[in-house]
Amino acid sequence: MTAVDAAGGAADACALPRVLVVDDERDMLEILQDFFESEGYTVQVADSGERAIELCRHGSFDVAITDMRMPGIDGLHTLMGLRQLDPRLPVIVVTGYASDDTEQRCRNAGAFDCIQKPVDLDTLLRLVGAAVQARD
Amino acid sequence: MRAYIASVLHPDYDIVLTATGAEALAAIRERRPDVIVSDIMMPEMDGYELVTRLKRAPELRDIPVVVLSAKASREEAVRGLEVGADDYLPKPFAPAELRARVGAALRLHRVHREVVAQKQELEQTLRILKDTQDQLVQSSKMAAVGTLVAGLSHELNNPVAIIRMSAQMLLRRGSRDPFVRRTLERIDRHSQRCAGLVEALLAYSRRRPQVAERCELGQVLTWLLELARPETAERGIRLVADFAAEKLPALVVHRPALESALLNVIGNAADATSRGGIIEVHARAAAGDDDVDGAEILIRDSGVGIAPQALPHVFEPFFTTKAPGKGTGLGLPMTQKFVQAHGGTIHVDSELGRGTTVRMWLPLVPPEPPELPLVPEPARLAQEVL
Repeated sequence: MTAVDAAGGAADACALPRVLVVDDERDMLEILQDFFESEGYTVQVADSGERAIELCRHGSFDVAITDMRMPGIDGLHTLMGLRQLDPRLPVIVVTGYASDDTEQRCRNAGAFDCIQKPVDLDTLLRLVGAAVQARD
Repeated sequence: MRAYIASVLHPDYDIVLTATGAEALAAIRERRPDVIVSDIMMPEMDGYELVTRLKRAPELRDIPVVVLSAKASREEAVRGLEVGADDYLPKPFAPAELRARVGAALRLHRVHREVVAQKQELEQTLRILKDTQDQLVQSSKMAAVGTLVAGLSHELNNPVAIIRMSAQMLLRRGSRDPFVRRTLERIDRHSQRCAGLVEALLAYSRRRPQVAERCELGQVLTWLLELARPETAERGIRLVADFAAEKLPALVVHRPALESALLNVIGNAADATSRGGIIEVHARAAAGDDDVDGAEILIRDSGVGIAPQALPHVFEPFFTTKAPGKGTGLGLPMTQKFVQAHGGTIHVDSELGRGTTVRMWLPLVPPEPPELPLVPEPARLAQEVL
């Protein structure tokens, strides 16, 4: 199996876990990419929900992290689109609003978890680890 | 004369005849007639005296008085009018004349009464209008603040998050330079402080109160006191619980909201009280207005108190007398919002130098699902302001 195959194929125990990060804020994408790469993940970023769904159509991921409030389709619909393509994909939704409604709707739509901004990196790392394990 | 007048006015009027001014006053007070016809020349109390007394009594002065003057004496008529009579009739007079004068006085009286009633109605309407306007100004002010807060906090959330995460990332790199570490830790600490403020703002502008559940007030209070005790002990403040937890009722409320509402008040009390001071927390089952079952919670401190000019503003968002960075001015407004959303009441009494008492009453069950238009939709807000 070549490296290219591994990246395009299904999750592999030996391969680095792949994270998809979705946020309309460029700096946020950069931080999360740097952070997860430094923690040993392979990271792809999408600056919109539409782009994330596009990426998911052509590749597979072990976990996705999406912002809730974005122009175009929001986090909830991104979550729904991603899980339509890959029903087992754990999706973590980052909400800015302290709204129970939003959180409940995300959970109903199959979110792995919801966390509120500002995100604590250690908490996020633990959550992503748990999500990857849950997928396995 | 009396008999003549009675015969002229009969049967169109109900007539009471009196012989003296004193008798007349007593009868007028008792019967409140629509018209008074009085002679001027009378023994003991003459007509002028009677009219003067009538016009001096606020409750009688609106009854029209027709005085009967002697035909020869113009002065009598003039003086009668001067002391307050509404009309005069020179003697002798024809029956038709008397009937006409009395009829005119009666019409005048009716018009007068209508005007008075309308004036009262207008005053009442004006009062209601004024109150409504005050409420409207207050609620649109609050709505505008709510919208501003919601928008601003959302916009602040991302940059604060990015600053904090960047500092955390650098800290994780583990620089050995103490200067770099200290600086990064400072950025982390203060961005965390900003994040806390944003969170408070978001909580304040939260659109929907959460689900209410049954919780034992005694348990909640006991837990809150445990929570506050380390801090108050450190500051040398005595925290006294004056309630029998097991005797307190259960309330149907959103427990976290109740807890933060009470913590806001306890926190204020602690901030206002210096070493050696005391904070008392009283609670008891108590019926509210209309005998609704509920509970009263009273938090009293021996602190600095609130100045009389500041007292009316304590529930206004962002109003604070604490030092910059020490208070958001959202504590009491949030507490009030919580209490009102649950159909309760809250009052603050304070005396400078003596301390402050916050008295809250909450019904056991909120009257309706507590849903307040905390932050109106922008479109609705625009309509309300227009």
